[in-house]
Amino acid sequence: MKIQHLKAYVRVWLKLTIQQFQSQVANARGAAALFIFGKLFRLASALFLVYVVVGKAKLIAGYSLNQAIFLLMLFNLTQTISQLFLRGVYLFRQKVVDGTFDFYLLNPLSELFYSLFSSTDPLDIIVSMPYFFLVGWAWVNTGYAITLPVVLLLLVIIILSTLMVTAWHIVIIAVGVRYLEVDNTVMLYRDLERMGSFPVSIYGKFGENLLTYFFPFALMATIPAQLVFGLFNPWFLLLFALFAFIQLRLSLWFWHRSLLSYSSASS
Amino acid sequence: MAILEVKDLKKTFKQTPVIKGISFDMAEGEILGILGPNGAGKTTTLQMILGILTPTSGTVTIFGQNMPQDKTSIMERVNFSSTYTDLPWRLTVRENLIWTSYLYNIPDRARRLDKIKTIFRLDKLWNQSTSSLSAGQRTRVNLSRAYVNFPQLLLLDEPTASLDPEVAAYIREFFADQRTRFNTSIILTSHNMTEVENLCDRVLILKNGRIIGNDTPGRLAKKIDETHLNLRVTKRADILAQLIETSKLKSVETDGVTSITLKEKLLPLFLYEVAKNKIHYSEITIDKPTLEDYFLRIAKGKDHGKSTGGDL
Repeated sequence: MKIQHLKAYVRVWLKLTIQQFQSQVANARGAAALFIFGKLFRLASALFLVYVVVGKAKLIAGYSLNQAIFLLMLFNLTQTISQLFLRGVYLFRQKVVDGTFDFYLLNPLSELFYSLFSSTDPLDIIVSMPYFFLVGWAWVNTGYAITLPVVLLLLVIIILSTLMVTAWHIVIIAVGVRYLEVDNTVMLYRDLERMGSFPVSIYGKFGENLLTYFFPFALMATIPAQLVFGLFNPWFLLLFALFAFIQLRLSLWFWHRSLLSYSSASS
Repeated sequence: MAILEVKDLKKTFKQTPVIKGISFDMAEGEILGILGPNGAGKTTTLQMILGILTPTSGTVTIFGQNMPQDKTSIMERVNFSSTYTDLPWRLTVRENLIWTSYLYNIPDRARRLDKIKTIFRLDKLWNQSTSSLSAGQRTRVNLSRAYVNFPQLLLLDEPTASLDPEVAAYIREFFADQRTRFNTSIILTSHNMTEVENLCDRVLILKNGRIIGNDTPGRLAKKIDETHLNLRVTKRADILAQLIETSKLKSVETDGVTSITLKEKLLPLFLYEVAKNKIHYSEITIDKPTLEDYFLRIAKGKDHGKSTGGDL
């Protein structure tokens, strides 16, 4: 991609995001406040659940309370960052039905860029703040050292996790193009993803294998845990990167296949 | 040099073939019309050229690049306007055009938009929201949006539908002028046959997913080979009736005017017979076949070239 194209993408994305924010402020202040309240409530209830479970059992799949909070918050942080960019996916069905997707296909920018990133939600930036804070707080409380190489490696893992999440969102909109169905696919995806936020050994061998090799969301929690808790295996990181790129390639292939069956809103 | 090449293009929706292998090309600066009855495949063809639909097989090459693989660089030089495309309703006309200029990465936006405002006479509408515009005004804004990147290839779907006659004529002149000055190539679909006849250098006729006609509007019209001779007879009308009958011609009479259908090449001979038989008339007109006649015949499913022009 040429630099001028990249600039155009960034400029359009910024413009879209600012418009989205202005529209939220001007037209839906109540809805925005409810959205933030809902997200924070979800965060509080997740924390409460971990506290109750670990308070009773002392350990959850071998992790202490602070370790469990660290893993859960890191997972949620990755999820929130992804959603910050990928909110457009949840509105995708409507865009196919009302012809907006035809417009995406018509202009020089990539239709995939539009479909994924056209409704970036700036409210998610506000929501991600507590996660940042809790990740740091729980990390300090685990007693494991915070060093620059570990922080950098953690950033790489977050980027790879975001790629993996993006790949699954591409699959969701590809299904949307093919079958005009997005809501149920999103729900299915989010249930599986949420299962991966807990240590997978609690699901037994089958669940562990499913969430590690087929829907590898578990890796998004296990790899950072290994890194921070001193059990880091570089081969495992390599495997994680490989999984992320393979998923991205496959999702792009599926996306292009689904475009073959697209019949446009006017048909 | 061909700027657009379509080769053996096919599109199938769920086992139903919609486009059954069409091929054509288009030269730089050419205005090409695409006509066909409803369901012929016009929109599907346009959508494949624009990259909205992916062909089942075949290729679309624009400026020597493949669609949809090279879509980004192709679409920077192509644009599209349709009466039936909605504009973002909340935005004003100005905001709509600014937004489009971002999509096409236009340098010196302010100057370009000023130019567009003047060309499409948008001064009074400039700060109005799109939702408050009439259908004709929206069509005008849609057309102006399609011109933001000064396209080398412009695809227009019913460009003057819902415009008042004065604005429609202005827009038609504008397209013709753009072609003359900048060699802009235009693909046009329209139900206004006069518009197609006046604007297009060549017309493709589609039917059931196949090209059944590809020629200039004049030559396509000539394939009809039927002319209507209209006479207001003042003396010896009975002799004219006999002449029509013996020549096996068809005729109808409306308000004292007899309209006789015959092959164009037989017209001089028939007029000679009229004169020889001393048939007097006070009024004579000849209706030559038009593109619309050809189109109607195609739409009705009759083979072109067959006529009921008689055998004098």
